[in-house]
Amino acid sequence: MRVELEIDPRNFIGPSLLLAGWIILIAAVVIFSSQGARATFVILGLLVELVGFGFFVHRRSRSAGERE
Amino acid sequence: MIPLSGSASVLCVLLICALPFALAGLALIYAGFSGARNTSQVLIGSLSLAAVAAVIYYAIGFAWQSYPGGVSYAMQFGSTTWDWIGAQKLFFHSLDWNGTAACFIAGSQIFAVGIAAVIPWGACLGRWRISAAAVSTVLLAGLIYPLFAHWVWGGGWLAHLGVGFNLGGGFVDPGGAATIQVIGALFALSVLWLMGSRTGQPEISTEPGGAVHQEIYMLAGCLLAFIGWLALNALGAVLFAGLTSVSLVPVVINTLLCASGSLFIALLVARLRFGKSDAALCAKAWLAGLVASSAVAAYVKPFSAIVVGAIAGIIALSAEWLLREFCDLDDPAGAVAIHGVAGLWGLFALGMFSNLPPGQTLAQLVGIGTLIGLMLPIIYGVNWLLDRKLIHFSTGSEDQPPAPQQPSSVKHGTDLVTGT
Repeated sequence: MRVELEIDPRNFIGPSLLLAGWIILIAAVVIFSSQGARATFVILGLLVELVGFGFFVHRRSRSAGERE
Repeated sequence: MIPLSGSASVLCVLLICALPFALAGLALIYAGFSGARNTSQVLIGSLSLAAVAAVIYYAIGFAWQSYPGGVSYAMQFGSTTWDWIGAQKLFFHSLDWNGTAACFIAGSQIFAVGIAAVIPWGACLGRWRISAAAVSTVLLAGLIYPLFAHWVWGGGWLAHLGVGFNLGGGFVDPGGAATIQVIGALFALSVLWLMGSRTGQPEISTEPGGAVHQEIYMLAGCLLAFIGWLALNALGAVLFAGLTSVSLVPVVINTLLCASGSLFIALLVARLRFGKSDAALCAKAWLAGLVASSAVAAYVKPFSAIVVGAIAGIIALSAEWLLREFCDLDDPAGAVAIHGVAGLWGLFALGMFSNLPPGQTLAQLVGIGTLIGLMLPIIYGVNWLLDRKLIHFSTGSEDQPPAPQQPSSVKHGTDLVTGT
């Protein structure tokens, strides 16, 4: 049986934002030496991850709705 | 590595022998959340997946996890070293079994990886094809778990955030709140998303033998899990936090207080809001407290443990409702919220409530961000590929157990959310 991969580019927005958030977070730790700047960008990275998680959830809910 | 003292070695062996109680407790709790006809399936699946995880971890997992001071692969960027994966010999060949911490790390982790493997199985409650679960467990025990465990426990880059970047003591997780609980919960989340919700299923009968949940299993599971968690946290404190056997009493006290705080606040909320309590609610709150204790038990004062547990109970039960209502997550046992959200809270609380050096909260946030931002896409991606290309996850609608969206209050209690 041949299984087609259902690849919709919009499905990659969530995971991409999650990874982008993580990269911001790591970059903040590596680049800055002051704890204040690090904390600011770490929180920014976590917020980007939160948005990415939201996109992830939205796409999953949408595809579940389409299945129904 | 230097061998542990005789008394510490004996203690570690005894604690390792108590670890299967955590596995048995979780399996019983999940069996309690399933219908009566799925009980044996949930239990045999838990046992089978723990066996698969143990074999794979023995074969390749430990080689990639390694231990502090062990051989590993590292990348050099400027003056900083990023130690990213272990490079031990396969099949435990690098261990001499001479009583060093490495031997006990291997002994404890072969059980711990089984606990992580049972979490997604429990979340699916019989909807996940056992062959697919076994293949996914191979990835968990052979790749994902060892990778993250190396970063935290094997001398990897997360553990070195303190030395390399002046962030407290680096990312700290002595009892496995991140490595065992959150990784298991992320697997559960990915698998549940891939399988979708059950729709069009008839409501399960509330007659004897058809009850949605079985309180005796759940509550017996809570007691067994408590013994296992005591061992998990005490062992983690000795092996990963450097505590001696004489300083373990606060660790076990904190484990109890954390779970008690969570249970107490859940009972209080249920009593005030609905006028009665519920076995399912108690089991979830107790487990959420235990999960949070895995992060904090070795480092906080007893009163802080109560506060951490109480908040863990509130946010885990709230998160379960949010995930069900807004994220279309069909997770009647609340495994994702209990293991994932309570685990993440415990990790954050460790930075807030412990006396570790400044910057610890930031180190904990980096670890949390890595779990959500890096591990979740990887775990979802590998499971998506498995489901689409290798073996379909779902058992099919005709074989699925009915959909108890909130399997509580059949006989004894109430639904926390609806109040019915």
